Amino acid sequence: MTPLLSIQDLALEFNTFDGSYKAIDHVNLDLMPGETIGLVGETGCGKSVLTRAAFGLVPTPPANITSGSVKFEGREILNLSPAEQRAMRGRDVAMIFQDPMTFINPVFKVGTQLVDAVRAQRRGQVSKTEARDIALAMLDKVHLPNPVRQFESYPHQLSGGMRQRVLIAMALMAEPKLLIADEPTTALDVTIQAQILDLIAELVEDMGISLIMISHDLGVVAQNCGRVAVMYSGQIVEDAPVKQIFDAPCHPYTKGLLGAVPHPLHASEGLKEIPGTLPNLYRPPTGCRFADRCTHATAACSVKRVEQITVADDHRVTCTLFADQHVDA
Amino acid sequence: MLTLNNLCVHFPTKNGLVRAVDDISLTLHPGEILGLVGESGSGKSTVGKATLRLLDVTSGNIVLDGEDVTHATGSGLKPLRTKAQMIFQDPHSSLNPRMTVGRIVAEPLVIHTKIRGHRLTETTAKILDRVGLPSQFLHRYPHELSGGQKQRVAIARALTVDPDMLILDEPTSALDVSVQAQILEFLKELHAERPRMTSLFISHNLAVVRYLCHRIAVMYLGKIVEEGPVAAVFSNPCHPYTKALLSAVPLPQAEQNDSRIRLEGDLPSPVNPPTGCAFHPRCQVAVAGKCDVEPPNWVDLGNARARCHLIEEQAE
Amino acid sequence: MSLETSSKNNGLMDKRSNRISVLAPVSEVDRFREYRRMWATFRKSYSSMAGLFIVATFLILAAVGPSIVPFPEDALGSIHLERKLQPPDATHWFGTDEVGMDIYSRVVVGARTTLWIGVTITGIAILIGVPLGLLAGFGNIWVRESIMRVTDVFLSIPGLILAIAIVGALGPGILNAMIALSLVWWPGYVRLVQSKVLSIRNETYVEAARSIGASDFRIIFLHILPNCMSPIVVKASMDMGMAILGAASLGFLGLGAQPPYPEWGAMISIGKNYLPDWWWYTLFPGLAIYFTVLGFNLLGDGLRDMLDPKQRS
Repeated sequence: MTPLLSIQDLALEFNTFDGSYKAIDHVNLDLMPGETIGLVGETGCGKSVLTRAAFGLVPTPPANITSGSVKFEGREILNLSPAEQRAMRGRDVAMIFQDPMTFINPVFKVGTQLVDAVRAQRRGQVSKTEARDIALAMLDKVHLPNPVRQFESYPHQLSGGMRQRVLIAMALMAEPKLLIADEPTTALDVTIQAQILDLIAELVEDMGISLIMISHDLGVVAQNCGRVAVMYSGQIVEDAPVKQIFDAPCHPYTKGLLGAVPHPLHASEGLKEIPGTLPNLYRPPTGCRFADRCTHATAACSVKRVEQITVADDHRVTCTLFADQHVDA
Repeated sequence: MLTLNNLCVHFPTKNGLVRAVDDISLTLHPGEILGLVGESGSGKSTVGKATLRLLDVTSGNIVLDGEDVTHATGSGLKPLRTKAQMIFQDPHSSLNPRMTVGRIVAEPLVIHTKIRGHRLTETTAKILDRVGLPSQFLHRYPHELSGGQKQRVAIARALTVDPDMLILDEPTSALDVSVQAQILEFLKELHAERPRMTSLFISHNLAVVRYLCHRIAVMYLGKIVEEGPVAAVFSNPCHPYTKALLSAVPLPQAEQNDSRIRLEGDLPSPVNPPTGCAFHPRCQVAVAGKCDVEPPNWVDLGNARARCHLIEEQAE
Repeated sequence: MSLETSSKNNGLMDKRSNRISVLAPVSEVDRFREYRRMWATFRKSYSSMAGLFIVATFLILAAVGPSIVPFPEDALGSIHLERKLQPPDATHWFGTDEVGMDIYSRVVVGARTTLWIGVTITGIAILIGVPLGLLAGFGNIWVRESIMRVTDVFLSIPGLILAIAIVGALGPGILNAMIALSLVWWPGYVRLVQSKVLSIRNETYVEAARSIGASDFRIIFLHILPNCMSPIVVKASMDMGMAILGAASLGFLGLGAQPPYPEWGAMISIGKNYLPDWWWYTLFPGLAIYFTVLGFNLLGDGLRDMLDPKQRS
């Protein structure tokens, strides 16, 4: 089966006043149709930049894609024209973000914006009333209470959870093949977060959409994704099915992340701190980027670039400790 | 150490009176860490700010270390300002961008003591060291620091006057998990070293509260709905809201909890709170004719207490 | 320094130093990075650099003007009727006026007058406006309302007209013109500072300062004022140009500096009677005003981009 999205060897740097900041370092990521994958990592690890860069949403300059290819359904998309990329984003790929208010125009009614979105996506082939029906059906699908009334509201009159529902409706109206959710619930309260996560899971399942969920919260990813890719300073350090990530993590950074979060329901014995700070990405280390903070690091770790190693079926780790456990998948 | 008696904080707004904090009573014993949890708009931050008199209290009183500070003004506020300190959520905005770390940390000493010059720098360096920052940081500006380092500076500033009471308003929610772990460990260590240190830990993150706190109080729409030792409340929540809140947390593990309680709808407006029990419109076990009419009373459950009609009935 | 001794004497630090070095490695922070970044932003813009160049030239002329001009005595009003109204040539670069004074000398010496006018007007406006703005932003509703409504009254009357009225009452003269212009200039600063204070007083660091017991005085001067400085500097730079223009306008109307005082506006005022045949009489002082005002405005724009990148469109 060909992957829906295949990111190969993607590298990106930002040219800034202080020099070039190597934000994404030769990342590989495949996403099969219908698969749900969670991208986790801390601030500055490049998880948002990665998905944005893949779909031409990072302005160049200051960014500069130095190598790699991104194929969507087998078609290279990095060298598409901006207009073609835009068309693809409207049709095949949809995105939702942390702060819905940034992506909804505050001066227009919710309904007006939805109708406009429908008509833009269908290239004006639908009348206003048809568009309205489609939009209302979509609002119903995202379980927005009282869709007819909310149609006439302004975005600021909706609560955060309702806005996120509207944004999801808008994103899924064109029936995309891939949904990218960038920290969709970070700004929301836990009970509302639970509603939105359930909604995303339900829609992804019903519509057969693939999902990339970007989050800093391991719990959110565990709940909604089948696979997890852990990112650390511009690299994917571990990529495995969700069960393996939580039950048998390999990379020391993944273990560190898991040890650093207290469990919500039982008493935890003391948290494991990850010592040190992030490497300087203006002058990244030649070897493993985590070596400075890693308790298992050996001299070999800092010598040369660490390659991705397949340790089990669908389980890849970027760590020298597993060099001898390589299996051919 | 700290007692809040029937504390109310109301704000007049264009749309009516917001009862941000409505009749809250809490007691914190010396050495205790009390977690105050709730969703945004529940009034938990308002409790913290009102306790430090950063907001005007509408009624009720605040007793800190045996002293009523509810209406203290001018120099009468000094005991409050030296005994109790606050740490804010966003370390990026809680430090003055135009002051060096040294001046930020030294400021409480400059205000409250006569220490100046060499001794001031020395004391400041010692406090910075205490929070794990080398003295080179004295001359840095906040924008040169990472989020975790900034929060350490904020903690250092709070510790300069040797407070017995800390009000921690979501001190880790703007930080990454690995930095959060460092700060939580530090706070735990601090409490272990100083038996009199008492903290009010305000958070929406239940996992963090479970980890750090001894007791927990759950707030909903300006009222406390359940209070008790963390172990008891987390393993056996009584109030339906606490139950829902706990089951809404996504677990960092592969198997998720299947029998989850899902709350419908949003938090009602605090301008116009529901009658009776404020939680009844979202409550799945609410009894019509009872929960929507009269406000529930506190039910004593040994070392815990909850405010719900159903528990009241069970207790009878 | 005391820090080193304290770290030596402090056993706690030695014991913990291992852990500290792991937690917070001291990376070499470039102390001047922020300034270099600001300078790089500033340098990128040609107009900012042009503004800086013009203003620098103007300041140099104001400093050394009287000692570099060929006929310094002409600036003070010496009369040489034998060479009156001569067109520009090698001796008199900008020509001469109706009593034979060298216009080049007068324009260059006038730079000092102009600088003095600009600095005084802007300075007085800041001295009145900034404290009032701080009070209005920080005080209670009554203080705020009374200051802001008075400010509104001043802002609702066109500045120059009000200045003319004030000079009319005080009598013409350069000092009175400056007093009049200062009196109409401060409301802008009140507005600016008040709105800035209103936003800064809600910052968490101000709340944090209150929570550690800082007095209002301390909060205003240590926490709020330093964070309002960049817009004040930007506005002051722009206002230098506008104040110079205002003073020149009063001079042109005969209400400011009186001839033969070397002030550009006053020179144009007399020179206009000799237009168009003796064009150099008005052209050169006019160009001097034009470039100075332009320079301060470009500099102000550049400073704004440099100090407050967020405000850029």
